[in-house]
Amino acid sequence: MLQAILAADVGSTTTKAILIEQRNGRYEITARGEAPTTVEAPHQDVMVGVVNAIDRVQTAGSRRLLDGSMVLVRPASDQGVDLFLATSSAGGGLQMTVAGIIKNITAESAQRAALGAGAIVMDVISIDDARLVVERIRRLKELRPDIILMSGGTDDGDISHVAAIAEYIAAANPRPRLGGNMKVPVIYAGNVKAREYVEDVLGELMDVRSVDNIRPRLETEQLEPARAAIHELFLEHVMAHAPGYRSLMDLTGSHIQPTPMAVGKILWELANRQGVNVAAVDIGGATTDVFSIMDGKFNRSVSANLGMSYSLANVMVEAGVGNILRWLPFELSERELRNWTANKMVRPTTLPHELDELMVEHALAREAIRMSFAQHRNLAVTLRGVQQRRTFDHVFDQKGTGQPLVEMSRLDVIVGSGGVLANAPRPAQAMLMLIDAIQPEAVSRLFADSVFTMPHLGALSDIDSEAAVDILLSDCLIPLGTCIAPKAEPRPNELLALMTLSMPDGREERLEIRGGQLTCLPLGPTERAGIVIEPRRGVDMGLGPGRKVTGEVAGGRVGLVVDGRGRPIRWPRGAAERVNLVRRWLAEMQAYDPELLAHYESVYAGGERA
Amino acid sequence: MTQGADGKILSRTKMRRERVLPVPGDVLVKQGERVQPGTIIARAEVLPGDPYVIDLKSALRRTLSASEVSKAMLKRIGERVKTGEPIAQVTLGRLGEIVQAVAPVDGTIEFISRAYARVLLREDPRSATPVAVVPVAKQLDVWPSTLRIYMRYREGDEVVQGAALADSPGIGGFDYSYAPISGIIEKIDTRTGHVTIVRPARPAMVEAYLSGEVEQIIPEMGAVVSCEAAYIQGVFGVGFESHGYLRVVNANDDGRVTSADLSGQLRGQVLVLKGYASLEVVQKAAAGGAAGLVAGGMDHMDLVKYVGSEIGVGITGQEDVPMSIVLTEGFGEMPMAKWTFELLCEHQGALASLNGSTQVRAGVIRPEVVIPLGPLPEGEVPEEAATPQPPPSRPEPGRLARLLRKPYFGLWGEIVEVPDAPQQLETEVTVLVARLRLEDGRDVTVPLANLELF
Repeated sequence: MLQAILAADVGSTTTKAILIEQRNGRYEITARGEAPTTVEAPHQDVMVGVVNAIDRVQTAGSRRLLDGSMVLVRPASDQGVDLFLATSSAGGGLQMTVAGIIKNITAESAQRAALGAGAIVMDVISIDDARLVVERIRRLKELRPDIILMSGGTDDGDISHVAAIAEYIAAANPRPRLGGNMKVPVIYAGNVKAREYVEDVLGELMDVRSVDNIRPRLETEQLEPARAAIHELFLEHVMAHAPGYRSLMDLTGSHIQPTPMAVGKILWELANRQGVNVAAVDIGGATTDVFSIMDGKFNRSVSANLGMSYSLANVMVEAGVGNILRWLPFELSERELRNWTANKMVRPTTLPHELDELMVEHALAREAIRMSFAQHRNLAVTLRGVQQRRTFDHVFDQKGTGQPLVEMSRLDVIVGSGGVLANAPRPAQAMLMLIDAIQPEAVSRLFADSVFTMPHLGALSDIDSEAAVDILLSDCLIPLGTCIAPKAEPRPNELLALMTLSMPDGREERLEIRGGQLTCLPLGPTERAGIVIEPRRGVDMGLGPGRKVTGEVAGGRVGLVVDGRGRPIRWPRGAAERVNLVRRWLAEMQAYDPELLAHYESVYAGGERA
Repeated sequence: MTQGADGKILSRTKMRRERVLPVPGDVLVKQGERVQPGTIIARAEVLPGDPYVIDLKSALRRTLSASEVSKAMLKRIGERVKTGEPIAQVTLGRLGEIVQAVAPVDGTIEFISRAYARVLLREDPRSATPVAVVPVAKQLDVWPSTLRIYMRYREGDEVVQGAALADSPGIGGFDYSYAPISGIIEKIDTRTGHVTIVRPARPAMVEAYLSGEVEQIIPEMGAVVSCEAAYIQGVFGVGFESHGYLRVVNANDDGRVTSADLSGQLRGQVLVLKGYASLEVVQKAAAGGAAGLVAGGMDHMDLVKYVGSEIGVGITGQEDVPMSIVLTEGFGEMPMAKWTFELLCEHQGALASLNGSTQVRAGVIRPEVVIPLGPLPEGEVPEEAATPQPPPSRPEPGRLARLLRKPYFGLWGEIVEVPDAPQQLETEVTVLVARLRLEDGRDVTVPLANLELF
């Protein structure tokens, strides 16, 4: 068993390092440290930031990690580390362009493969693209991707369109973003019969790697070979040419991977080991990543331009001012909201000083997550273009292809990550933001990632997945509680379900779930309660309309949230009624200081700050 | 916490700007030459060349496999061809008939698709027909006077090559008349029945932007222009490069400027407002032909109305606006920082260049006002734009700071104390803070993250 493992995540602005040590037969995080990332000028060497972060870990912990010349000490006894793992999203992350024949079929599969491997997909090129050929070629040339993933055609299909895509790429012949003389890597994961042609057309210009077809048949999608090739090329080409990364690769023994890929791995391990369906949202400054693992199927999406700093004004523009204002317990004018949001955009590192500003930030976060999650559900779908055989029984239950994989009522665990959730002063704020934005149905457990160590643990999961999941649950994720939400479109106060809770102290509590109501019941992070829910006719608690649900629910820092507001949440028409309703929700959740809430109600009487 | 004095406001500095064309062209200035902001440094005539797709299967009257395409091609990618010049050729039948595909226009072979047996020919813009007169009425067999009934476009509309200009019901379906070139419909002549399409030449030009001296020539592309200048960096702006004479607009007693205050000649001026710019003022200034406007703040909503489209991602500079705007502080009612305003007042009447282009992202670009100055008096050293240094983790007492968030946004103060321990704010967040004495004598505690240090 390894004694000590060092893991570092090189982010765009901060490099975070953690030390994981074995104590009493189990791993735990014993020290943390962070330092500014140094990929950009003036340093232009990632190692400066990495060594600074390690130095801070050394200061915080009891283990000597660096020697006098700032070189990592190994192997471990009571000093040094056995293993050093790293993840990176600095310098714009891994930027890819994907291509396929049909946008909704092979190109979409290629997009899923690239996103799953932690890439940012800059453009999707396909034969059924509405753009002119020249425009597509010009765009490919301009983008300068790190890697191109080319798919197209089933293994028994025609090769002419695949060949045409290869020709477009050859005509564009884009130059690499990093490293002047290297050839841009192209992963070919399409019709196997076209391999020879593709290699013939692209071989001299690009570094072509052929892997198994991403869609060997229309009804089969195999993303793993393409993802593995992306990772390999990420190390060989992208990382090896980024400033200072060669040393980092040497130091880690090539245990380095894109940050989102590592986050995906640890979430996949969590879902796999606990046998649950998981969705996770990581809301950053410029973009929001959403991950889902449903029945073992992994998907990731990136919503560019939806984030809490650089992209904040865009969140307001895309969501619409009304959709932001509806979450506030006071009447804010559009003018104030716009100015507030735009000022945060131009000065992204500043913090809300007063509670009204924090509430506006939280309202914006709800909409950013809501839109990102909706985009994820559009991408994570059942395979399109698959022929379906239907029997007479299916006539009344026909579902098309391209159905969302993320079924809200089957989502067991929701993880929220990113500054606005992790730094929310009260856990109830993070929990309510997630519930309002994602609107889970039936019974879902919610967590917040407190310290953003998911990348580090994803890297660790390659070595010891059990230990990684243990640390994730014990040191990283804060259990917020469980949300119980019937799927219904209720009238106000309409009885939706009867719920019986068997509390840990032996008490039995009976509760009516009513339309429009939000209730918070205390149940501690280590506590569990037995539950029986009897929904009324037409109300679905996950097993079908009217069907009784029995089981056990876990508590958290917030407890049990019983959400009878309906799906989707319905809003009253009048502004005053809406404000009153939001106030009631916030009061029930004790999300903010009630005295301050009352204060801001009077301050904003009339829409403008008095 | 941000560092204020990192080159944002400099009373005198050496400015160097590379002024280059997007494509090679002719450089019109010489090294050492004095230039004004409007002096054209370099120029290139850019006529957008149209793409022509030649279907070899149709032109050569047979199907072609990928290898046959390679054999048939007489030209390679990158080769130039003249109108009528053969680009591919095959021999058909027992008699050995030679069939050729010819270039429809002068141009360059840009792409050969062996898979689809197609050739993409990019028309040479220099030889491209600048005007096309299409006998639409004749083609559709309609009276010229009724031509407008059949037209799909009007004068001023943009058409792309191959688009149907007009259609009319004919025997066995509709008859169409197509645009032979891409361009703008200049005239629909109902007397002759002709439609004239012109292809506008787009001259690419780069101006000096600054009033200064040509320091270096970059062959075929442009030059480096340099000058001594006062420099003011804003936080957000719209519109591209512009220049004009600085004019400080005096505010009323309540500190506001109204449109009534914008009296007299506005054309060619860069207006400076100490505080807030209302939409009414901005619109009057733009309508009066002002070259630019520099203000402390403006409502986001008003800026959106002025630009005519939403401002979401913080990337600007390409808007089609009559007047560029630079905001020095932010959105809303913001007083301009004292020394920014004083510096602008000091140079009232001077020729200033400004650019509203902003990019709030990695590789950040901020809008700017540059006021070229005369040569430096003997013996004085210019204040170089310093390399930005990371701000100290804990600023020392006595340092001047500006507050960047409500409720003190835009106010100034002196740091009195920086406590070691983090403190809880009203939001219940615990962060490092500083205690400041504001200009009005109030003592306040604010997060370090919300300070701009000077």
